Amino acid sequence: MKIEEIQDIFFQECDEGLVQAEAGLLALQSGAQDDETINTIFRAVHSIKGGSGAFGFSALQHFTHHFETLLDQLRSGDHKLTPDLIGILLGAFDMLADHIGAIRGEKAVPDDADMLAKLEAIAAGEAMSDDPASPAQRNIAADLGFDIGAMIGALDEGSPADTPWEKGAETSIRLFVKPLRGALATGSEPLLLLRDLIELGAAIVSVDWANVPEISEFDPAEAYLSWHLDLPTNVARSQIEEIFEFVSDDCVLRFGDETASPNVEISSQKFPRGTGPGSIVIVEPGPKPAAPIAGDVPADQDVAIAAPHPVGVTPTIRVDLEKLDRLVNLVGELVITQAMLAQRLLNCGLAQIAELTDLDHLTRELQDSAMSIRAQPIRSVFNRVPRIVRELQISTGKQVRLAIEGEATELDKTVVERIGEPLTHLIRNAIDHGLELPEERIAAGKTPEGRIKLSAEHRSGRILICVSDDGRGINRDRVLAKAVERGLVAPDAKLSDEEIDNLLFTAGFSTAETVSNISGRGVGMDVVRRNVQELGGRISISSRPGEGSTFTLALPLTLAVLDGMIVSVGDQTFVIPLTHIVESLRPQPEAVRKMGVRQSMINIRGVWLPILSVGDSLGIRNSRINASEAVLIVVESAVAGQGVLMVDEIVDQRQVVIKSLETNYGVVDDVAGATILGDGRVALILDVEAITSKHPANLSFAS
Amino acid sequence: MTRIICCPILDRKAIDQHKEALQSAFAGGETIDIDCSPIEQIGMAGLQLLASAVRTGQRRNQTVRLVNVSQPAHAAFALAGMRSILLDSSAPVDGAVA
Repeated sequence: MKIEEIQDIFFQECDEGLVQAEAGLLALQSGAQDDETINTIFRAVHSIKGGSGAFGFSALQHFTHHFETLLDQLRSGDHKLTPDLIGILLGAFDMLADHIGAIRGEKAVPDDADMLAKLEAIAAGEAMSDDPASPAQRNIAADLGFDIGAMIGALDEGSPADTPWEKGAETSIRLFVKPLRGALATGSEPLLLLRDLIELGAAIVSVDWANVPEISEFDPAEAYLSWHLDLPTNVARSQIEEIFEFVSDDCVLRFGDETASPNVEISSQKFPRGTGPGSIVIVEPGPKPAAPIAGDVPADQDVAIAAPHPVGVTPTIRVDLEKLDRLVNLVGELVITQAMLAQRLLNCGLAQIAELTDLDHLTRELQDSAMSIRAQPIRSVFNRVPRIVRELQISTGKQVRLAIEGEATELDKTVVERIGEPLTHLIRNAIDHGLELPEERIAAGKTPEGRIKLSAEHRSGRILICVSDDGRGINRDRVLAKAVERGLVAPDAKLSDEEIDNLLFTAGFSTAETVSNISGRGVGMDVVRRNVQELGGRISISSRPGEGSTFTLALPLTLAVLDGMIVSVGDQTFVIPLTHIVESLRPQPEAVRKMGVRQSMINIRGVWLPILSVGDSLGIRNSRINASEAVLIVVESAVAGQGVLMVDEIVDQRQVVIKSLETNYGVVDDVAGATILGDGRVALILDVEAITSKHPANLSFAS
Repeated sequence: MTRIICCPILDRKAIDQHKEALQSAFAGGETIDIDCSPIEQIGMAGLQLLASAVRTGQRRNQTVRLVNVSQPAHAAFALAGMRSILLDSSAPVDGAVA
């Protein structure tokens, strides 16, 4: 493995450490001031420090050392966790994130002098206490790449319970580790595994050296030692198994204590017996299996069992994104080819053959699998928000409580990468424009602390991301007045609430009285809408005066394929995304009514909905103009609600591969993209949101 | 007394030469001092070799001492939980050390 690859792994570990540390700090801020939370933060910072030393990132190492020192004192109970101290810890965390950004080359090395002075000042207060050993140990730690002093303390024989790792841990996980002969033969170093376990909080309970022979029988390639360790129960099993990921063939790893738990069995009994001392063995306490496989071995024997993958471990592999995108693209082409084949067979009267159905299912499964590889949790984007909120609290003087939900929601990697900027704008606007100052909130009968909620959820084949606040809501009178003043709206225009709200997305529009570095230049919301639209999504606003506003981003799950209904309009073929379709119908003539000269409405179960002619919208000749002779498709959009699209015929329903029209041709109104049909023709994919938003949503009404 | 001076990197590659020296020293029947001051790096193979030396001395009732233990060696002993095995003559001859 190249040094760059190892460094990349360290960067990823830094990201994970930042996530853990920030979650812990926010938990402290929320009042969860338990030992384990502080331990978690400490471990995260400690791990970053260890790696930074190994790679020679001296500025990061120096800073983490001081940060860690204070956290260590907190673990020892030397400081009381006050809001001020938590604030400093959060500031130190932000500085740590900046340092990590600097070593990745993403930003300049931060000036941490002030923060270091704060950390040292607090720690100096600790130095006055009666703990003379701590400063000396910390000095040793400063000279080393990692905190060997803490390790030595943690490992000092006979006193594992005295180690800081044990503090606060009521129970522990017993772990047995025995490197196998191959562990030394391949040049790997088992002591590094121990080091990693200790960094997770492990304490060695015993080391078994009974198998070490006399010098005359000593084999340099043999592994004779084994260890029992205790880990805090908050350490996830996956964290432990991750350490052994690359030595799974060369090490026995057992969970549980066979002497304390008589029901310990080899839990990997489903796997065949191994062929030699080359596999990982995972054993954990649990109920004895009803019918153990003959030949299973007792847990206390170090016989290797060939396990294709350790029980409970999800093996992972890193893949170049280019290779992945090529796979996705090829799968897309396969889908098109499969559709063409189906069309050919249909023309030959062979549409019902079983093999075609199987091929269809397999293609769809393959496509789903390929797409799921690109799916990532939105957590990485949401994790940036707490810092933004903290910074805005300071700069605006507003008090903000942030709630985040649904950070595990997965969506396409590209969407995850590109949604950060619009989300940042929305958060900034919510705090700067939405929330009131504490005194205003109190005067309005609210709590002084404003609330911002950021959520993500999977709904109807789309991802909805909402940014809500409980602030003053949109002042529509002011928005309208500003729009009139700027000539964006005629003075006598009658606009609905939705139309007024949507003025916020007009380029250059801002109601802010003063321009700040947060918002007010009017370059934010139109960029937000454009960015969201570029991702195939839509943004909508819901606001109530005095109660707050919600901005909802509706984003596609994937940017590569969609399930669509193939329809004909005149001599053209179009695709309507199924995610928008509620139902389709051929209306009875009496169900359709004229409203005005051109607008038709249809009564759908007591609700009158506007009929929107696709032929009219796109200027297609020879399309049907009489709704009672056409096919009506009820669609739902995030912005305009329900509407009815009028097309000539429904041709088919199938999955289509999205080809960018913008890249291959140019932007076309009311069209979201294109696809290639089974017969080789190009069909345009309708932009339902755009078509329906041309018609006011309040055209629909209950009869 | 026989004195064996360890090399700076006591890994698997260095084991054979140390093993030969130790075997010769045990054959002499004298007290053996293993000078650990040069050790800059030591892995599991090196720890096992030192443990083997200690074990051999215990079984043959021959004194084996690890002397001038360097800081990296100390750290490795502690990391592996073997300080008492290697530095404390009262460590049990067989079995586990808690």
